[in-house]
This record gives sequence, C-alpha cells and structure tokens, in this order.
Amino acid sequence: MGVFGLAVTAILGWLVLPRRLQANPIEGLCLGFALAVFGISAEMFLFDLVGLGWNGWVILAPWVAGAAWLTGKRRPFLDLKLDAWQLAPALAGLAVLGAWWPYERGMPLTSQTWDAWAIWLFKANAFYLDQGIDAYLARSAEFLGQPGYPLLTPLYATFLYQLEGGVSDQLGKLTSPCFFVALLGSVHYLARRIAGVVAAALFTASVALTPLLSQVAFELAGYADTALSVYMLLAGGFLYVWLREDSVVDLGAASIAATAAAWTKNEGQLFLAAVVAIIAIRLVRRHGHISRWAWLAGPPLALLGPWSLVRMGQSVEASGFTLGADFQAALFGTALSTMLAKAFTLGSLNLAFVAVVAASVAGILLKLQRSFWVVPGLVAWQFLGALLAYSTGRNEIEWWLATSADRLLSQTAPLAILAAAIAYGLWIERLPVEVVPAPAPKSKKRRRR
Amino acid sequence: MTAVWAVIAAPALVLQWSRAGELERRIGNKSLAERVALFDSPASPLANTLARAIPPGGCVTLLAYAGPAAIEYYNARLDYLLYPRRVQVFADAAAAQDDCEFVGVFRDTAANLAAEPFAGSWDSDALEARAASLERVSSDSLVRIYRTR
Repeated sequence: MGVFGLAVTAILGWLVLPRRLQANPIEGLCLGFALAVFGISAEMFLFDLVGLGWNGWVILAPWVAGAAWLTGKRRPFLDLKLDAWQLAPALAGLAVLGAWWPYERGMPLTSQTWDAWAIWLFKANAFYLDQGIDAYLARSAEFLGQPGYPLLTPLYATFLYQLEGGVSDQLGKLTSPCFFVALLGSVHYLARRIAGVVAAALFTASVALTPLLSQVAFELAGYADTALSVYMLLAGGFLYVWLREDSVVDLGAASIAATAAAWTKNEGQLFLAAVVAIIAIRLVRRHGHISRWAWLAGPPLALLGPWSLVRMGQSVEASGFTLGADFQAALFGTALSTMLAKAFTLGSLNLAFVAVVAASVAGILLKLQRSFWVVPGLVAWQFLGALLAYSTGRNEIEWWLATSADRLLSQTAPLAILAAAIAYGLWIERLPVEVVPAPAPKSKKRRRR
Repeated sequence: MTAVWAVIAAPALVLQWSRAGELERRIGNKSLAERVALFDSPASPLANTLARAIPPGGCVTLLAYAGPAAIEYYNARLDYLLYPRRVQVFADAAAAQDDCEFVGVFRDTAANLAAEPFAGSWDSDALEARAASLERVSSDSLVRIYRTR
C-alpha cells in the first residue's frame, strides 16, 4: 500500500494542478508529486494540531475531492506532444535510473546513511508509533537527531507508513528517487516554458547526467536534499516566470514551492527569505494587489508560523544559525576554496556550476533583463549562506565540509542549470526571425486548366 | 552541449553500473532477514533481542564493549530501532542504570573492535559481580539482558 501511496500522491497532485499551467501529463505527475508531498505533510501537521488523527484515507480524502471537483470542471491537460528531442532526457533518465536501481533493494538496510535514519526517518518512525508529533518533541533532548529541523520528509514518510500499516524504511527512502524523477519533470516543464521544447529536452538530460544528483537521490536516499532541490528549482523557476509574465498562478506556485523548501530543510528557510524579499520588492514597486500579498504571505505564515509555535512550546531550538554571527574569516576562506573546488568538479557536478557562470557572463554581455538575474542570484545567495554557516565554526570545519558541502551544492545545481536555460531562452528570443515567404496560392483557373 | 555533458558523466555512470552489478551479486535472491544480516549487523539483531525482552514503554542501560564512535552509533541506531523504548549506551561497565529497569551487556564484533578499539572503562570481575545481583532475562551470543531488582 505504501507504493500505492507514492503513486496516488503523484496522480492526485497532478489532478489538482491549476490547468493554466498547461503541464503535459508527465510533467504534471512530477509537479503534482512535489505539490502533493508538501500538501500532505502540511495537512498532517495541521490535522495533528487540531486533533484529527492520521488515518491515511482521511488524509487523502480532501485531495480526492479536490481532484474530482477540478477534473469535473475542466479535464487536465492531456497533450503529451512527444518528439524526437524527448529521446535525450528519456534515455539519460533511464540510463541513470538503471544504473542505480539495484540500490533500491539495499536501501532499507544500509546503516551508513546517518542523517536518513538518525534524523529524518527517526522522526517518521516516532511520529508513526506515537501517532502525533508532540511525544517525540517532548523527548527530543534524549536523541542525537535534529529535533528542530522542519517536517516535510518525516511527515510524508509517516503518511506512507499509515497506508502501509507499519514502519518501512524502504518506503521512506523510496521518496528520494521519486523526487529525483520529479526533478527531471520539473526541469523539463520550466525549461519548456522558458526556452522551448528542444532546450527543455537538452537541459533535462543535463540534469539527469549530473552524477551527484542521482548519487544523493539513491545512495543518500532518505535525506531531504533531493526534495529540497526540487522545491528550490520550482520556486526559482516560477518566480522568474512570474516576473516576466505577471500571472498570479506563477506567483502562487513560487510562494508555495519556496514555503515547501523551508518546510523541507533549514537551507530552504534562507531560500524562502530571499524569495519573499524579491516578491515583496516587486509588489511594492508595482503597487501589487492585496491578493498578491496574500499569496506571498499566506503559505509561509499558515504553516511555518504554527510550526514555530509548536517548536517553541516544546522548547525545541530551531536548528540553524544567525547570519553573520560568530563569523571567522579563516573558516570562510577554507569553506570558499573547498566549495569552489567541489562546485567545479566535473565528475560530480558535471557542468552545472560552469553553466551558471556562463549564463551570468552571457547575461552581462547580452545585457539581459533584470528578471534573469533572479535565478543565478538565488544560486549565489545559497552559496553565500553555506559559506557563512561554515564560518561559524559550529563543527570541525574539515569534517563538516567533507560531510555536507556536496549535498549543499546538489541542492542548487538544478537551479544553476535552469539559469543557463533561461539565458539560452532569452538569447534565442533576440535572434532575428527569418521570414519565409508563404507560397502563393494556386489559381483556381490554372487548376481548372 | 548535452553530448559534452554525457561524455563527462560517462565515467561516473560506468562506475555506478559496475557498483550496481556488485550489489546485485551480494544481494541476489536473499530474503529481507538475510539482507539485514548482510548490511545491518550487529545493530539489527541486537535490537531484535532487546525488543523481545523490553516492553515498548521500557528503558535499557546498555553496557557496551565498543569503540568511542561505535558507542555514539549504537546510541543513535538503537534509539531508532527500539523507539519508543529509552536506550542509553555506555562504554563503562560500572555505568549507573538510573531508573532503567533493564541492563544489557554487549560486546561488539571482533571486526569492529579491530577497526576501532575499546577506549572506555571495563572491569570484568566487577561487572560479573554486578550481574549476579540482577535477574537474567535473556541471553544470546550478542547480548545478556538483566532486570534490575
């Protein structure tokens, strides 16, 4: 039943997507999976707050009702429009999934992936056995995990356990490969909207062929980094599209995805702060309508506000750091050189960070519009945030960098590749359009003759 | 561009294909229990023995002859595998059991101890004297479990 839960998450998420997004069915299942994982985990948190309990079918009920209502109003976008270019991401994706798939049988048993079970799945385990979050939070001082970390990953795993009727490491860990597939579909959707079908195929294949991304999704299954990379990508991509096209659907999608990022991992909270600031500046400048302010503030306040209150009520500290506090310049230098070396290690991150640098150079040379800079800016912001975290010296720096720097870079690598897709899209928009004269209609008289 | 990307990714993919083949050979048609024995030993069998003896609301103080990093590992791993039971692991045979109603005595595998030697405090005679005052609940090749009287 747990695998059914993963499938139904993607299907229901797709069916409740706004039809105006015009995601094709494969993209829709990928975007829908990301949306519904976030929605279900948020729903479980709120159900727990009001004492509704966690019956798996009851949790699904609002999604089924929403999907039925929306599908009755207007059927989902079913036009797949596959062409030869789509072979590139399909083959790349299949090659990567094929190379990693045997790992799936070892997943529930590997005790090497410390954070997966000691932090994320431990909470899922505890939430499921306690049927709530309070009992674990009350005892959190006993455990080595990070009780202040946000709850998307553990609560969604708990949902799968509810459907399965028991704790299942493998199910919890399978969420990471599913997010990897969702990442590919999300990149394809955004790149298609931004730069067209051909670019979407090529940039999606590039993401699939970035070794660190599949490594984190499979070898470190159960970690939250793959999920975070999906939400950061979606937030950055929809934010860019909103700045260009000014559609409230894109604004809502950016706000929800950024909130999901903050609900997934602490790095996402830094990311959310940047996204909120960018949207707020735009709304102030354009005298944005109150509904747009509501879309900006609603998702983070409705979810992260109560979570902060629950956490503080149980005296659980928010894990993280204060920007600029305990800054040590020497550590900053060490972190910078290590992060740069890792970012440009081709065997790991391939050309992802080369792509964002190249896109930025193109942005300067081509004097691309300001909205372009949002995506490379978010990549740089997260990079700087990581450096400042390392500079606090909260852990022994060499160990800390060795165990986390790769994962931090993997979170923004898809966004870095998306920056290149945007630059490419803007570049081809500027190319002079070749006007092909239409053939002259044949004369009826001549045809008669 | 994608072709360049694929060429750069090829060595990592080839390596992963080879690792996947190796993993498949190790896993084969093994059952879940056999795979657990292969990948998660001795923590998983140790947890199973403890779980059979200690009720879900119970508490166990585990006196563990294991290296320092292993102690941290067993603390976290047994917290995970035995939740909601309370578990505290010490590399000290004289560690106080506080209000825990169960005491376990565990010795890590020879391979683990060779990789990371014991660095705690362990007086075997004193431990045996302490055990004699407790009620033995169960015992296997991994762990002896006692109930405090």
